[in-house]
Amino acid sequence: MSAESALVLEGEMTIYTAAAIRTQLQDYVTGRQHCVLDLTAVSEIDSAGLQLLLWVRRVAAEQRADFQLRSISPPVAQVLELLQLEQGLNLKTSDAARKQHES
Amino acid sequence: MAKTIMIVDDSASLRNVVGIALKGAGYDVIEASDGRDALAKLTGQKIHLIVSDVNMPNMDGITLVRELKQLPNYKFTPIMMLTTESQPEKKQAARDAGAKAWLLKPFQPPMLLDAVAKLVLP
Amino acid sequence: MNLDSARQAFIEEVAELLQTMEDALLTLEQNPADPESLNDVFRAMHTIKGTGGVFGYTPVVEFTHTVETLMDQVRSGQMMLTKPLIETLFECRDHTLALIDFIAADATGDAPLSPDLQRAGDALLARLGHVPPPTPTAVPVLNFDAPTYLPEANDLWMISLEFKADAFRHGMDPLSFLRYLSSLGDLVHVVTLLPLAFIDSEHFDPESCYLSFGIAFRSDADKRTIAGVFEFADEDCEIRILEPDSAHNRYVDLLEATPHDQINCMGDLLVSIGAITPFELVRALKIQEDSSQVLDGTEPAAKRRLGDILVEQGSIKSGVVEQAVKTQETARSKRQEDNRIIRVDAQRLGHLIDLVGELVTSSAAIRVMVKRAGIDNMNEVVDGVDYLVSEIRDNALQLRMVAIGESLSRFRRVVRDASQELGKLIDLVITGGETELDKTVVEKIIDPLTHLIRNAVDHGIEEPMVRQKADKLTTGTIHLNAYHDSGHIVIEIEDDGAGLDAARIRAKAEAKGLVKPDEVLTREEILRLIFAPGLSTKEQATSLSGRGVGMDVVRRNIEALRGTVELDSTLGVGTKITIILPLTLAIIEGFLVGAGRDQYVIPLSQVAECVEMTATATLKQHGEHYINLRGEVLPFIRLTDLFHNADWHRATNQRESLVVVRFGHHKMGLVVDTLLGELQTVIKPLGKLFERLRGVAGATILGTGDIALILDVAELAAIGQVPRHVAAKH
Repeated sequence: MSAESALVLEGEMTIYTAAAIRTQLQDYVTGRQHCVLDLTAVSEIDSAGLQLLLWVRRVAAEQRADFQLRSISPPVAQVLELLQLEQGLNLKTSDAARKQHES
Repeated sequence: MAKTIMIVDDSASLRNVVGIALKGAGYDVIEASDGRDALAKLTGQKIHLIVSDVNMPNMDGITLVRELKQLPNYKFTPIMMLTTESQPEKKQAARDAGAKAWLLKPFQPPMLLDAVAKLVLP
Repeated sequence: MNLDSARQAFIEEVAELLQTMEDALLTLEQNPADPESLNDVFRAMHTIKGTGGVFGYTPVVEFTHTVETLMDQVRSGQMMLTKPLIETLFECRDHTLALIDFIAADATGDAPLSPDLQRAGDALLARLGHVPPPTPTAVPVLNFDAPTYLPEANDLWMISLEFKADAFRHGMDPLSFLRYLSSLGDLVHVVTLLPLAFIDSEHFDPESCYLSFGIAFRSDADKRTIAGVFEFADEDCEIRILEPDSAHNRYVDLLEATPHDQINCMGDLLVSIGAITPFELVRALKIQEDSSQVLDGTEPAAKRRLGDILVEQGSIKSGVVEQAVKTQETARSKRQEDNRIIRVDAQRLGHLIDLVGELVTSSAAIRVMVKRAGIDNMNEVVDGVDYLVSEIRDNALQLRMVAIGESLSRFRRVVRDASQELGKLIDLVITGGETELDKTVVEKIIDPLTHLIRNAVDHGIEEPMVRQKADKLTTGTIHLNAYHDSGHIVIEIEDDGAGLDAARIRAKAEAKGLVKPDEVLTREEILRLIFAPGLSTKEQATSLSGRGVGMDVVRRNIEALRGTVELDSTLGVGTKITIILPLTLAIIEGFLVGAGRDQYVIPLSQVAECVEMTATATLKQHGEHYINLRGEVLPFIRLTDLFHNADWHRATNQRESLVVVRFGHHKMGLVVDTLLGELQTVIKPLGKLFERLRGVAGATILGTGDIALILDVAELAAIGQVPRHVAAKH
């Protein structure tokens, strides 16, 4: 799993950007075996953004691809913590993330 | 990053009180004196909540809601109407237009902050 | 994670809802447009989904959601309710039960659904027109589809939020509400659901909201405050808030403490103590109004209870409603209170009935003692006590009486499924469902009845083609009837099927060596042979009723209940099986007789009459005794002969009496020395040592302290007809 195959999302992941991000995610996931999202640069996330993450996770599962959140920004972290979704969205802990970089 | 709230009311003193309360709670505030003024001040910046009076000169609150629902940058923005007990039909009209939150006038600033917080935390 | 009371209550509630659904589906088979039944099916799925969501049972929520959506389309006329669809709905009902059973059996509460169950569910959903996504269980890294359940601690609020598609468009951000909620307490556990099983990814609209949440919440806030968090979402979200048990108890306390003169109506009462919010009340009242308007067109039906609606909406636990009802009723009339149903442990009831039995015996003893002591002015008191004791006995027994109908209605499903499997058309008609009998008897009679009904479906009713050729209606009928007859309950199972072929039964029995070729048997006796072990009348045994080995078990089970089973059948016309059972197993009305040195009790309901015995009327034929009673020839047994206990001090010329007893359609005579009169008596089973003793059903202790044997008339008759076997037996 190489770092350059990750999809980096930037700016806000909200209802206003949902349609565009959905297209972005769909294009990225299609035909891919390993789906890695990098959300470090996401400035804001709302329920529509969260719903996109849950959706893409499912799309990946449907095509038997694995799914991972490589790194997230504080606003995303706050939401995942509130909903206790860190594990469900397969968020790499900082420890695991470091190992990822080393390999 | 602080969240931004627009307060639309023709009473300058009400805008003032609300503005102080919201700023004190950690929000950024944009003020507008009526519907037309509000639309003029929406220039693409991020707004997290619009709190609007119903009865205003030039453009009333309900028309404002209908206009907002046509704007790509603001059509999903939550809107809270400031309504009065004596006009329940206005409240329903606002809800039908797409403003699902409301606050009865008169209110104390803590009540406003509480209602606002349900939609947008600072 | 223990199976706590809330979860148990949920499981029980689901069982009731699914029973309602099944009944409704059966009605819909006859009348696919019945609005009430359509609603029942919808409501069952809707309520299970909602409450299941509170617990976070994702597979249940996703499955019932699809069925609910479909039923909504049927209700609104967008979809036709076809026969195959009803069939699928039956299976959906069964699958829901399987899902709940799976959850109930799962002690840890987080085991993933078994692949079989998952496949079965997907197959059903596919038949409903929804394409579920491929099961992702093949990817081991992604076990997120394993159900995550909320912990069911008693001190947590359970909140379920199901957002509607337009929520985002209305500016609602569910996360905002949850963030605010977290400022009021502790989100102990959150389950976020994206129930996309019914939407493929192509049609996923990122601007529509599909999210729902199950939240276990710990907080000291009251319900009004918690509900207030979601006040702006009321149009865009289905909200259910269940209070923790601690709050639940507080409501019940408050209700109990509410002064009766302050009670107006249920809704206000519940709002006043904070058990529900005013909004929940308004919503429920609207539903109540709507439901009564729907019915206005047809007939003035009773309004649905507000409490039921509130419970169904998940606004409140039923315990609070019950307490509110109680308080309300107390206010109306304090005496109405005992109309409420109390669930009592069956064992405690059994113990009470045992004690009452002892009381009956003691009371009889008092009567004997008083009589013996010759205290005349005691008679009135003794009569009074006797009367009270018999009233207590009747009432105690009444406690255990249940209408048989509930148990019989399950056969509608048995018949339906069995007839479909065999491609037969069968109507099951149930009458006399209100007939009451002891619950312990009901439980024991279900198995034999199931067997007999399956037999009727399998061997009785013919295939439609065969029936048409025989000039019968293509649809066969099985009639299940119950009624009371002199202290007994009679259950009849009658079918208009092929009937039994006596010649074939006889041939079969001979082939099996059950009867000798030269033995003379009446038609009745031949038919009864099907109750003999190891006789199957149909050449080919089917999976349904098995190999016919069951009929002797059926008979034994019925006889173990002190019951009898009769059979009548006409070839080509049908078969009628009549089961006669005592109403209760605990106490019988007996007729006390003396024979030799001992006393015997004959069940009073079987005593037809008593006549004086005159030696001239008797005659002997092939070693059997008969008497001519007003032109009718009756077999009889002299009890002193049977039990070898003749009293040699008794003068031989002393008069004897003949007690004519009946069992089923038969009659016979029992010759006794003295008639001692009626008594109520408690049956004491004989010990293991005597269980092979034929002709005796049990024993009882008389008021005098003597022991009397209770006679089993049906067995005596068998002995009487073949007296030479008696000797062999002893």
